[in-house]
Amino acid sequence: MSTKLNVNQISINYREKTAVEGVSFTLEAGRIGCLLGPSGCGKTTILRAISGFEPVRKGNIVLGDRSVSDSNFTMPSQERRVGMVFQDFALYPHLTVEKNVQFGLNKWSKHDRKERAASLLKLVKLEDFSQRYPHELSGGQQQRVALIRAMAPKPDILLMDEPFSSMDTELRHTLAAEVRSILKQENITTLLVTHDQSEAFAMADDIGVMENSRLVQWGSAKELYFEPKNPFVAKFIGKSTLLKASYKGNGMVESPLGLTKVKYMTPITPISLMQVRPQDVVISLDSDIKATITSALYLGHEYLYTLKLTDDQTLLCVASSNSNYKENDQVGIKLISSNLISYGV
Amino acid sequence: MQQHFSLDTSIVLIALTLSVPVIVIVGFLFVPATEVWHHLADTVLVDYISNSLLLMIGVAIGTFILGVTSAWLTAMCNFPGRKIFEWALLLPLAMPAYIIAYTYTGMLDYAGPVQTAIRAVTNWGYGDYWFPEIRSLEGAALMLSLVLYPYVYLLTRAAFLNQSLCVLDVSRTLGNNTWQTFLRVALPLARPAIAAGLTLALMETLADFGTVEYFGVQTFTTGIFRTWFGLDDVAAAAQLAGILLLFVITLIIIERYQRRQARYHHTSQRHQALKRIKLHGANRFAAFSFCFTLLSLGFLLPVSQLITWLFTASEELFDNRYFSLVQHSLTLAAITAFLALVIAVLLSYGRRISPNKVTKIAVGIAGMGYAIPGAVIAIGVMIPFSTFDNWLDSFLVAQFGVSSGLVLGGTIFTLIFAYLVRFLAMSLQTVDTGLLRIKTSMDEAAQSMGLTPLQTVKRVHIPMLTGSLFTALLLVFVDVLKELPATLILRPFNFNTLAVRAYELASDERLADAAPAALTIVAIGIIPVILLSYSITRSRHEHKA
Repeated sequence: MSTKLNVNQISINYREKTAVEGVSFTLEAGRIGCLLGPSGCGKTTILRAISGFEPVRKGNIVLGDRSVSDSNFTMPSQERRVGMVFQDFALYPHLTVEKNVQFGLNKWSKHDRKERAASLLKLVKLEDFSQRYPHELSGGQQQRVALIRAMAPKPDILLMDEPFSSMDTELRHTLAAEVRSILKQENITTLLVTHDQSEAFAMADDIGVMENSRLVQWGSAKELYFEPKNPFVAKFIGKSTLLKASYKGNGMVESPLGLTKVKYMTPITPISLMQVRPQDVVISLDSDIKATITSALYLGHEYLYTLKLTDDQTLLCVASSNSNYKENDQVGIKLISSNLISYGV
Repeated sequence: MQQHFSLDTSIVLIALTLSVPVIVIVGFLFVPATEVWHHLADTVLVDYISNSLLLMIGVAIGTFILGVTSAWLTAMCNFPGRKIFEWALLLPLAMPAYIIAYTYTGMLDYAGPVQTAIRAVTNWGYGDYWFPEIRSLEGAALMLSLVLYPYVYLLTRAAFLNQSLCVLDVSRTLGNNTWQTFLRVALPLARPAIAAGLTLALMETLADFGTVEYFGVQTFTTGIFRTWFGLDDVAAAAQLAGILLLFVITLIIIERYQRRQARYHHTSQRHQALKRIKLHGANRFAAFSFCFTLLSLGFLLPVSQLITWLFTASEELFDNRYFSLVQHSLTLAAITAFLALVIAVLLSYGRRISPNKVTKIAVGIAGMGYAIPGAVIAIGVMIPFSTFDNWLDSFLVAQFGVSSGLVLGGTIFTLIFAYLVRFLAMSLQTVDTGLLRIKTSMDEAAQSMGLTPLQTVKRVHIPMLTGSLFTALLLVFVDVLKELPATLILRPFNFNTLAVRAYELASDERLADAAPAALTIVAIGIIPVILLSYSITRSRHEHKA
């Protein structure tokens, strides 16, 4: 497998403020990467730097075998062979769906242009809409037109900026799966940006979590979930709680939940945080560890309880939908997971 | 960076040039008063102020009643002819106030059709009956209201249509009937729009010269003329213009304040289209009659009268003289419209490429002329231009012993410059709106698909902007054609336009002879009104889609 995108220690300033600091990652051909993080963390700026709309202050970006950005040089966007799908789709209102798809193919012969557009429209099942104008399409249809318009010139890499943010939840999930299967089918290397964890997990092979202009972890969805490198990733991915604990040596920490064996992320400090996910804890009436239920959220397939521990720390816990605890009930709880992680503070 | 700097500089230079008239007028507010000024202050200034204020109050009341009622009826109710009234009620916009003023004078004076009919029916003679005098302050307020209410109608109607059914339904469930709901919910919600419409109407009122002059009502604009031409006192005329400018600025400040106070007009996220109230019986008839009377008074009657005059005019109607008027007017309008478009495109693109505080303020200044009365701009242009001419002349005489005469003053150039100052805003706003539709992401999409900036302009911007550019041309074109006060002050000697000729003939009581020029202005003025109503309908449809 060859490397399609190599982002190497880049720093970017946006309106005189540091938007991105020392970010590095690589993306192999055919893989789907995703930058995930809260808004304002710098993820879109990285996308814009890769597409050539923002210069980099330090570091460099290599697309295939071409260096496209460094501190002295920014290759113009039109020479980079990147396809970009914009958050607002940026479809041209004066052109039909077909003409929008053909927009980037002006160097192709008329015949090839028509053929390429037709096959892409078929791919996204919009062949009957080719003569419509963008405003006559639904949001999901516009999204698909934006996608194939970016794919049409066969770019080296496809970039997608919050591609599903304007959709409602249900459509978002169906489309994410659909788009992933199209990209995989066409073997298109893709980098997308989102703030929505479920979208990132549904779409991407490799995910980078960003916090305050920095990339804090780059890995597969499973790695992020099971081995978050720092408390930020731990909290951002899944609904974990970070309990205060103290380090007792030999990979053991002591918390209100007792003495527990953990995997400890360096650096080790005496006062630590232990990541506990809702499914790591069960309600067990004979347990000596007591907690008070402060809220009970019925989700249909299960209950999500918020628990207050004796030292006033709170914890989330899931239980079967048959359980029937009420607010202010006193219960016993115990840890059942063997994959707990702790961090130094 | 270097490029942006020179772009910023050009934008600032254009804005400065265009703001010269205002700077001059404001400057004169600080010049010590002349003897003529003291004389004015002792005699007529109080009249100017009180008449201007009374006229504004009259027009505010008139346009409010006419505009809001017609907006409410066509937006919220269903009655015969509603769909036609929706756009037809905009037609009075095509009618310059000075034309409707002299048309009504012709219709209502002693020898006019109305009084003749009364006498024929009653067998009364001269002096046997009382008849209202149209040539009065009340008459002027009525005339202005009849042609300016569309501003209030247009904006208020849009506000009513944007109100969600939900907020009105809530009021009904809380026990208010239709009428109470209108008064307690719909009307207050539309307040910012009504205020904006009234402001536009009042700015036009302050700018009006033709109507008040013809009716003999002494206001600031007539005062400026008298002081300039009659008393020949430049400084005093400029100072009067300065005070008029203060009135306009006050008006704008009040409107801005209103708008800030009323940021509550979008209350519901969910928009549900209105269901119109179906009117029955007497209400149905009353709604129809109101709209029909309004349309007749503001447009149908005056136009019919003008057409009637065409057949009774003493002069040969469409002679060489008429065609030379048309040619003058069209040439001025075309040149101004084109220049305004070029400047607007430059400013608008400049701000897009280099968006910073400096360009934003500069473009704002360049577009403020529309608020300033034509007479004020004319004085503000005349003074610096003639000063320059005098300076150049004395310089050349001193250095080379030759006289340059008038280089700028009294030329078409001066006139076009004044038009540009006044009407650039129309062009600028239209181009801006068009350019806003082209989102930055569309540019970037084009670039990422391999297009150079020039290709992007050709394949994305030009096709998307064509409509706006055309509209911008047209709006300025028509406004120049209708313009009266600045043209009267600044036109070259013996250079007449349609508007000036219509005004002059009407002033000489040759009302019928003025009809060809007046009708031509009205006919051309209808074009943008049609365009406006078309674009409103289209945007409503797109909104629904």
